[in-house]
Amino acid sequence: MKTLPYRNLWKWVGTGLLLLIVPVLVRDPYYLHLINMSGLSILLAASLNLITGFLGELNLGHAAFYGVGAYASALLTMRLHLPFLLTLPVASLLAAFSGALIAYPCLRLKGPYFAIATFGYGEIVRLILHNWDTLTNGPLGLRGIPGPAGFINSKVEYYYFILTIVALSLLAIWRLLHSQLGRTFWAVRQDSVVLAEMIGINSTRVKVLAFMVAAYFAGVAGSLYAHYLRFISPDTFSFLESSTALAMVIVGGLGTFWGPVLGAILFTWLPELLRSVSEYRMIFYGLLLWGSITFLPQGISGFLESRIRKNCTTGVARDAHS
Amino acid sequence: MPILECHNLSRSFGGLRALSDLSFSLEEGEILALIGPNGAGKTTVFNCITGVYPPSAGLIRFGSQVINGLPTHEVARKGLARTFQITRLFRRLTLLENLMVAQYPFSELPLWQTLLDFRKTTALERKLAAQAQEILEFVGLGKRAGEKAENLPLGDQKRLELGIALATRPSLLLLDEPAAGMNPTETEEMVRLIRKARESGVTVLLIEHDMKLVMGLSERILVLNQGRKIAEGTPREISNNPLVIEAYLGHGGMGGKKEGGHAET
Amino acid sequence: MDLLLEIAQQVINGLVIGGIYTLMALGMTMIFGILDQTNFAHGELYMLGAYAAFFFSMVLGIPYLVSVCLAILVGVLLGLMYEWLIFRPVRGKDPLNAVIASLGASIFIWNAALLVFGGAPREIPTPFLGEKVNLLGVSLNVQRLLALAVTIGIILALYWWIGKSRLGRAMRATAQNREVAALMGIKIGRVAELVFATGGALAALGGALVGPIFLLQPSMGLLAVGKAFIVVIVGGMGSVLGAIYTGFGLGVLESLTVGFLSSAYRDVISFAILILVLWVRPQGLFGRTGERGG
Repeated sequence: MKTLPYRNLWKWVGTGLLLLIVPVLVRDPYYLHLINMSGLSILLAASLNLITGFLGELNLGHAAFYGVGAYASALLTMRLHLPFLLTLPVASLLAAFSGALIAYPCLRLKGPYFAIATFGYGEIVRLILHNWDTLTNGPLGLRGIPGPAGFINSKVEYYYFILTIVALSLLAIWRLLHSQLGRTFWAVRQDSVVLAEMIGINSTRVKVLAFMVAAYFAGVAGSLYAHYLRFISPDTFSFLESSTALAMVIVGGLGTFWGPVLGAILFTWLPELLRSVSEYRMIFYGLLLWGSITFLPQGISGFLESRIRKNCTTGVARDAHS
Repeated sequence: MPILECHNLSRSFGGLRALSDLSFSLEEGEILALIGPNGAGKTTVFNCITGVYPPSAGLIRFGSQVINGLPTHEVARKGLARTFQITRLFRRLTLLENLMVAQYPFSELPLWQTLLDFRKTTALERKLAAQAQEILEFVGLGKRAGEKAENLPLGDQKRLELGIALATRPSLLLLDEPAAGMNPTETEEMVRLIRKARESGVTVLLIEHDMKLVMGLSERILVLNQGRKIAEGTPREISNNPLVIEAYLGHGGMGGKKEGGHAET
Repeated sequence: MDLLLEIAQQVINGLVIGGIYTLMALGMTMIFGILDQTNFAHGELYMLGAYAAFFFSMVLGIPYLVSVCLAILVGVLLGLMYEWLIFRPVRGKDPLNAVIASLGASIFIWNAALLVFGGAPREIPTPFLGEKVNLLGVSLNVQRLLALAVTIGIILALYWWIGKSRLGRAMRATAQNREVAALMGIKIGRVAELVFATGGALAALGGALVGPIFLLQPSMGLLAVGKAFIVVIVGGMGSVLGAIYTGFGLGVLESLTVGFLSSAYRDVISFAILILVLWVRPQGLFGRTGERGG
């Protein structure tokens, strides 16, 4: 599938309409809040998937980009009184820049050690947020971050705003992945990077670019988070958040487009379903992470896809010529 | 003017001298074979030329430019392509996508255009797919465009790898054992492909153990032993050269089975 | 003179902590060097080793030194379970699968421990903790000296063992080339069990030794594993000597930072060193093969 499947137009229109009337269907503000949070998780998981699913590099510090986006956006509005519509892209660009800063030295490391280095970076960012009191207010976090007053006031309006941003971001990621540039992401994976170089791809540049794009979208999520919840603290952007994002991607399906979306929704709602046994939540996450990589390495969507493909042998031929 | 010249190429790994003082050149349009017993330094020559690592000493000139020390991707963009002893493919991509991505150097669009310029990207994708399909037909894999590369049998993998190399539009093609592990029919097909590629204007430097292939295909042969050139000439001259015969007999005969794990790879 | 004493005191403390980092890093560098797998759950072996010592000595009332030995046994068993349940199923697949599987295991074990042991910090009293000896004016805690002596002894023994014994040779052969080792009749599964058992024992020993010095917490493994990874990377991946030098070095540096700057900077400094080394010398201080494509 090289282009958006126009032949399924009615499905897209249907889904779109459904998404548009969600606030009518969901009256409970708490559930609407969870839907909004799902949107942020989708951004976080889809961006992490660019690095871990497509480049094939495990990133254990993705929350750092999320955090840079959130803090940058919050501080720019609180200290410099910039409007949210300006801080959103600026903070995301800053996150992208931090992505390049992290990617460049770490990419010289082999697979698993790359992962550890990103863990280290994640910790450093958290420690900086924690200890640079004068800028970040330390462990107490930033309170009273102004929302985008004037045009977004209620949860419903937030819903439409987040929906728009998420849809545009997913569209951008889709276009990227189905372009020459996206194919180079697959090409520079560790098992074929030698060949990638041999056909004239500068693998370091491609990887750094992928990191910047991923960090950008994580930054978008961070900025939205800060202004939506109006309170951020270093603990939100800890290793726990990075590993939850990773679990979303892996359980949903590494390297698939819809997998992380599925995983993000699942992991945002799972705590609600587990609320009565909340002390078992992290235990369950750990088990899910171990179990899915051991028994279902393609994730839920990869599993579903392979089941569908078995029943539909013409899919391969159709893929080739669309 | 020669298309490729190597002057006094040397390369050592730690204390081991894999290549010493090797000089040779390649005329445009010819097929030169590089042969020698295991560990003779053949793949080291390829690795030095393609910038996998720089030579310890010596000079490599490609066309009019000196290319030693250049990173692989820059060497590739100057018109040099290569296949590998152990076949390398983009295994998770389909055959068509393999050949599309191989055209990357001529189809780069900046990020903003990739994201925003729908018209241009659609046209580009269409063009790339058409060209990829053409190359697939050329290497005889036209009917399998939508399959994942990892599912191909070995013989087809080698042909796909050759297709990837050709898709980069090279003027010089380095082939590292293009017929390794192939049956006689497949080998014949590969020879035909290499000839066809040459006819389209590509110069070929190849490493091969299959002596029948080497003798039938190449115009000149260069023999390496322990990192040194011991003979150079036409197939007929080489097959009668006593030094060459000795070098091979000393290592268990011509075309002996390869075993993994030596310094070359 | 006081300054000198203070420095000596901090250096000794640092060596104790560094010894623990080294014990963990050795196991991890062996697992990586020999099996090409990364154990993100190694810190949990350390944490469970500490809690095992606590359980034996406090709950069952077994003397401390015997408890330490029992904790090592627990470490061996846990190491074997790691091999069977986490690492064997993903061997031969993408190496990232092992990182992810062990990360999942780490989150699972750590939170299960939180549930079972509770979040409150615990202490293991030992007969040595209150004892002090005076050495050239430096007052030294016997428990720390014991931990340091045992650590150094074990590290030397391990170094000798890898170099000399038949099993050590099999391990080194596997590290060099798994297929060739298999052809030579070396069973990868047995080597892996051995490596994980050894790694588990070392980490559990570390936990049992420092348990009495610091407080026990279910989250202690996570920070320790971060430090051990820094040691492994900075020392050079797969390098045993590198792990030893870097482990002790990092411990001393951290201890001096805490003593003379502030404990807030302790972790920042370690991670900053990691980044610096990654920039300047990505193959690690003692490593030769860390570079990509090398």
